[in-house]
Amino acid sequence: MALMTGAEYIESLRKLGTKVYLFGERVENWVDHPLIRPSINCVAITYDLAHDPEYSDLMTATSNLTGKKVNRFAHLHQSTEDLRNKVKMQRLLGQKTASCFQRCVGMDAFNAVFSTTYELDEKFGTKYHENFKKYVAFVQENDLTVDGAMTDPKGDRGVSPSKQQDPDLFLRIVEKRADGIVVKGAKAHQTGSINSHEHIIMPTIAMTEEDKDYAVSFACPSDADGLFMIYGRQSCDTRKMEEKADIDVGNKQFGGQEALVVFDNVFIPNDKIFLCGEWEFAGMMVERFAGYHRQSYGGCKVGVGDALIGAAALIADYNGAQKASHVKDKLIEMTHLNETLYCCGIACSAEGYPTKAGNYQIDLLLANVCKQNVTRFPYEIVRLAEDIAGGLMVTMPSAADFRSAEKVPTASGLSVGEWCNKFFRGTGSVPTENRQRLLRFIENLCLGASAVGYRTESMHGAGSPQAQRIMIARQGNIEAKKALAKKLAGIKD
Amino acid sequence: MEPKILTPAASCCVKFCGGCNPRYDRRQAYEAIKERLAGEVRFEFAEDGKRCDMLLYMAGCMSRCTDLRGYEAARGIVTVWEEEQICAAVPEIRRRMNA
Repeated sequence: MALMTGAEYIESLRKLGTKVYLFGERVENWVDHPLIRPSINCVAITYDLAHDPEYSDLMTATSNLTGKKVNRFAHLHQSTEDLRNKVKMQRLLGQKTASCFQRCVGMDAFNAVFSTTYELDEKFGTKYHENFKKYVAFVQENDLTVDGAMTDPKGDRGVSPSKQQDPDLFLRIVEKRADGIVVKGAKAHQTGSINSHEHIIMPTIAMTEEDKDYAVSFACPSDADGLFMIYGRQSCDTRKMEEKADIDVGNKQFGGQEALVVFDNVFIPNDKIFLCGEWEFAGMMVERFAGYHRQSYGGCKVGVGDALIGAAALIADYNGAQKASHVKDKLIEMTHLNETLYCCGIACSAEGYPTKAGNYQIDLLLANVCKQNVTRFPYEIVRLAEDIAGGLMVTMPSAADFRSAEKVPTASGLSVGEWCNKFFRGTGSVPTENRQRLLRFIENLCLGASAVGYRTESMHGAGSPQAQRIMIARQGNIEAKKALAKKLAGIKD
Repeated sequence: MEPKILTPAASCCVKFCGGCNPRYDRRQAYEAIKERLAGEVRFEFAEDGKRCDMLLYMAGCMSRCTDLRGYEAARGIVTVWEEEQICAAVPEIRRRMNA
């Protein structure tokens, strides 16, 4: 099958029997639901740009498995150039959507599971790697979107999976059969899960022998029996359901998505299992996936940052403040912070290396430094955007007020809309509606629905800040640094 | 010497870089070049393995990071990586096509 277009992707979702719950009820036509559709549009653009000669160089790659052209989101990285192109593609898509486009988790899962299963088979003589290669070829051939699902609900963070009061708080194997396994549990905060054709499940932490039933990785279709999803709320989400929803939404076309994915006794056939009790390899899978995903943020968040910096510069123009030296300086600072994140994404890619399986892994230290910066810089970029935009981004009346023809019974006899347009105009040449649109766009990114992706996901997605600090401590090479200091200081012991 | 009038059969393949952070509108620039060479040069998008008389490479920035090794163009490659080069690209393509 050739690469799908965005429209074909959306049609392919309609054929799935994915079970989605929202506001306490099953949503049958979730593809056209106004809360969900912007996130589907985001994934659709990853398909459309693959066909556009202006972007196909980043959006596609040649499969090492089949030799065919595939969407880069289904690719196994074959070089440091592939790793860099991944980050560049993510920046591009962040720029095009100003949202989380959701497809990265699958790509990061492919690469982590591919190399881990190779080394697992090498040690235990299992056949997981061959199973996984066939699975990746199937995904590439059908140009599927796959959710790479790692995070368990985790319950009491102070105890291991097997010591939880409720054993389902980490996803686990509840039955082993001759033809496969049955699993129970959930994956939380799952980006793009509803928009995915398939799921790849991975464990969420390194494990010990007593947790071996929780050391499980597998693939399954999103509409598997026993699998359902509960949609996550986003700030200001119901603006999308308002009549004539447009300006007040801030970004009408695109958005992100997270959901709780529940597995209530789901059967997984043997050929879709990639880890089944080999607890020694749970940590490797987690560390590799997290490493790739921490690299990802050095691309996607930078692209979204580009859109926000552009909006801040433009609102300064609309407000007539573009010549103020402090405004110029704030735009410089925003750019500096954003490009620093990009530097990290590119650096950890350029310093990548081949795994035993042959695909390329990022430099783990630099990827963790990248993500650690991502937990901070977007917040400062947002603060500066709000500073430049002014308070109107959160105090402006609704679009309905600006449209209203209802006369206010005062001396001037103007309508509500006329009053709004009179008092919320910026520089004379710019229509008030343009200013309205831009302020809502900034609001959406700073504290509306898209802030889920740009702010809190920057904090906790791909692991919370402390997770990166642990990795930085492990990878920081402190003993070698001590030796340097000793030598230079002339210490002999 | 009078410039040779080319038949539109002379083909120039256009290759865009991936466009991660272009410094100018590459598509608009390409359309401008194409318009100015209308009737002289036939433009088509570059594809792996396709042979063209020449290649127009529209890079988004100075790094020009696309790997062009797989493309064959007997009359060479003209590269544009900033807006100011658009005007110069037109006579250069014409010169190479006439050479």
